Amino acid sequence: MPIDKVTTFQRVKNAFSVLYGNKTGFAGFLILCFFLFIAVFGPFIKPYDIMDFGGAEDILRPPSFEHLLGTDDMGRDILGGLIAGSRISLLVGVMATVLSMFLGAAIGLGAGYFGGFIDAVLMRLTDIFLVLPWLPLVLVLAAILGANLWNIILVIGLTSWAGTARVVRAQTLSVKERTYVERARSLGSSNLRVILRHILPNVFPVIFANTVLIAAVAILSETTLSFLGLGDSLNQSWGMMLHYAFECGAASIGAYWFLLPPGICVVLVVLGFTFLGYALDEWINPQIRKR
Amino acid sequence: MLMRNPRASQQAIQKAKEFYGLDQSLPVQFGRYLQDLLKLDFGVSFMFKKPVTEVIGGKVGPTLLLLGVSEIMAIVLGIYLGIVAASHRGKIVDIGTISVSLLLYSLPTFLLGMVLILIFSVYWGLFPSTGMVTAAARYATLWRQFLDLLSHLFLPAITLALTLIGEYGMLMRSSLLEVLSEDFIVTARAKGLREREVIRKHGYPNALLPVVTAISINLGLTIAGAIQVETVFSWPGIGRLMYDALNNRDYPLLQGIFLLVCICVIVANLFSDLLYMVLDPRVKS
Amino acid sequence: MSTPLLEVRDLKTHFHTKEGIAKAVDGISFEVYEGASFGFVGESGCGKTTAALSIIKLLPENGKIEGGQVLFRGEDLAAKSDEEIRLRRWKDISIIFQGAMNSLNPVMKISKQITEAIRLHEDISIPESRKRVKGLFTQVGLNPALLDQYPHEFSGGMKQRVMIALALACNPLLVIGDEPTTALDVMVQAQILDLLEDLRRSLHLATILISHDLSVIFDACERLAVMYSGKIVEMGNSREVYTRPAHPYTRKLVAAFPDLELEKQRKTGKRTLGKSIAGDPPNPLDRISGCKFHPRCEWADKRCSEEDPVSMEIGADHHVFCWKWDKIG
Repeated sequence: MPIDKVTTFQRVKNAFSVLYGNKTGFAGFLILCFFLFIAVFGPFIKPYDIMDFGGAEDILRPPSFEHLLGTDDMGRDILGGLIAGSRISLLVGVMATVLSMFLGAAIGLGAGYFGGFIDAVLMRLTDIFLVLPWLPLVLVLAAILGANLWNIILVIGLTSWAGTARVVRAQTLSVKERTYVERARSLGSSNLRVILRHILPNVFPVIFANTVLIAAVAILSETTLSFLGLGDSLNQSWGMMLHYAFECGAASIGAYWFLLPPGICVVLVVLGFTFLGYALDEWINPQIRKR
Repeated sequence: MLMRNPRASQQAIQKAKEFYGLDQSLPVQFGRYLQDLLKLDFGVSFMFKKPVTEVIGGKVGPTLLLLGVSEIMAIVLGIYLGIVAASHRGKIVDIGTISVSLLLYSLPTFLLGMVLILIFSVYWGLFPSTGMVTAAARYATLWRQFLDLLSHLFLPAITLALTLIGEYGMLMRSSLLEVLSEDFIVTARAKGLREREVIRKHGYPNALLPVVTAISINLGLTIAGAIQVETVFSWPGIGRLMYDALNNRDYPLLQGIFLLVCICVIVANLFSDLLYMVLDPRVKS
Repeated sequence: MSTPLLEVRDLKTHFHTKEGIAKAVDGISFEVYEGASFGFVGESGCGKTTAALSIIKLLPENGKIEGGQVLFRGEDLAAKSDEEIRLRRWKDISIIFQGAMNSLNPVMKISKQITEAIRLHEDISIPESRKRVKGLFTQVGLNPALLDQYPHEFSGGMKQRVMIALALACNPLLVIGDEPTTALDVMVQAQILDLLEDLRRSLHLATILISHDLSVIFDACERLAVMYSGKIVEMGNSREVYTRPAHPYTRKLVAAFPDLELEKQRKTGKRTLGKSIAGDPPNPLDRISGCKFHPRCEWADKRCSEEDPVSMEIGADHHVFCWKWDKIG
């Protein structure tokens, strides 16, 4: 059905890598390390309590010595919220990505390896998930399942595997043709064995590079979902902070300190994953050097 | 929950259940739903207590307006940007374009919208931040009314357009660079055409082909963006409706919108496939 | 003989790459007379295509003519501005690329691609130019009714005929054929070469053919030049060079080439492989002192590694660039 083409994601990546090379990959890695550190150790350095409401005069105060990034609409410290939120955002992003990766890899490997009817069915399924507009789909699913952390992870994972599946399938098909696979099969190895021992190791690099990029998308997805009201109010990610910022009209009031910090964090993490993903992809696919 | 009245009597609850068909078993409900679909009956909205089709109908217009204007802006500006970047490959303009595209890609649309509100609405006071028209305003002329609409349309349309410009720009850039390295470009130069003419007559038509398909491929992204933009700017369209339905757990409405969107996406894809067949003589039906 | 139509003197074309300057064409001189057929033969990368493209200054952005003259009917094309050259292209000199490849715009009708060339250089109406296209089609053996089709609807051989028709559109004096038969199968190759020869005679065209395939050049060109690493190593009448190859490289080429009965080979399409030449062609970025071929030459001596050979006349219309040509067994 759809005409095969290089996705824009790949075009930006190719153009970018040619220009900047691996320096940005390393920068991305550093950014992610930074946020990982914050997520793991931050709450110990600066503890944050969701219930730590301020008094009426503390609501939406701009940055000051006491509150380095100001306060939110409930009088809570924004910097603290940011640090605590990093755990949630990263957790959801990573776990959803892992789920997506497993699904995508499994389906891609199965379709590519078995071919025939199984391939046709799985590919049609993949096509469906590629064509369906993701946000409406995700919204409906999340609405039905309910808004908490695990459901969000599930929903994002269940809807973002299609791209990975396609890429994995293509790689599986090319690996399948190689002679040692034929040999293993003629020797009588079971299908599972062949897949795990011969095909998977060769497909894994592609899976990994793809996965890092999916992580970027997952973080964006979680942020958007939370913003639209499907986040977990007990575990507040950056997206949820943005949701509350919107709900209280921070933008219209000019309370930039509520709006920008979580936003910038999201953008930085996404860029971090993206840079790293580009660099990994370049490293793994040196032949694919388009403009 | 539906009735918002925790003290409703059992009888009233039972009546409500019957009305919405919630007293039947799930398979029966699903079967009923499909049946109704064929009759183009999408059910009744919980929130509005009106048929879903009616509720959606009123909101399609504003969304189409927003999408239309944004797409046109994005296509025109994106293609132009792609051409400029390709012509100055490796130089600042090009690097800038790629970097900005990357940034726009990493930015959630709603965040971009809110930032634009901060800058243009709050600090500079140039544009209104919500709604499609100024509420309860009367204008002397139709022209004034039109201008009011435009001022409300500007920020949401720019936000959505910016999300897409990165896509189209990068696409046009790489497509053009690829085309310009083909052999037939050398042939065109050998014939004695000016470089400008070579690019215009032989480069662009070939380079634009992938952009045509991209527009429909990107529909998912566009819709996601529209939902966010309408929410942030309180634009009275389908996207905003979906947001409201979501927060109020209005399932029939949610489902109805979802179905509508899916159908539109499929139709748009078909249409663009057909369009591509017309534009590219190499593709046969 | 009268003055040559095209006289190239000490042409040098260099490419400026990130890794340094590549001397693709390093000082070559040759002549092509009106209505005559000339050929360039050599391995891939020896500079023959660059030499041809330099004539009409059709070089990529990093390529530049660094020296020498390209005298076409007395005027030096190398000294002319890009704009002046542009007006001459196609009208005086046209070029045939490998039509089987992507040398034609895939989304433009063939007729339009040819009328575009015609109307660029002549003030003529569209219907008139279309009539001419039909005539050209007939001349090259294509059905005139097909003129409004797209390139992908033609086979490889037919596309090459289209390229020839296109090249003849403005009645040029010189037609350059850059690997015109590569990528075609042998039977079609023969047809195309015959067609080119017929057209040359009937239209009194001068042709320059470029190929890595010796059979094509020896067969189709009256005179030829053997190129190696940006330089001409031997030049002259084809029969002469073929029967009495002087340069070591030429000798090896001819020996590697199965020589018996070219005619018979063309008809049956069969060919057997001969001996190959040891070593690889040098990288144009490397600087080799003296004769460029000396690292691969079994007769090379000290002088060969130091001094660049000059042109030596060894027969009527037969020149060689080698210090040891008469010492080789």
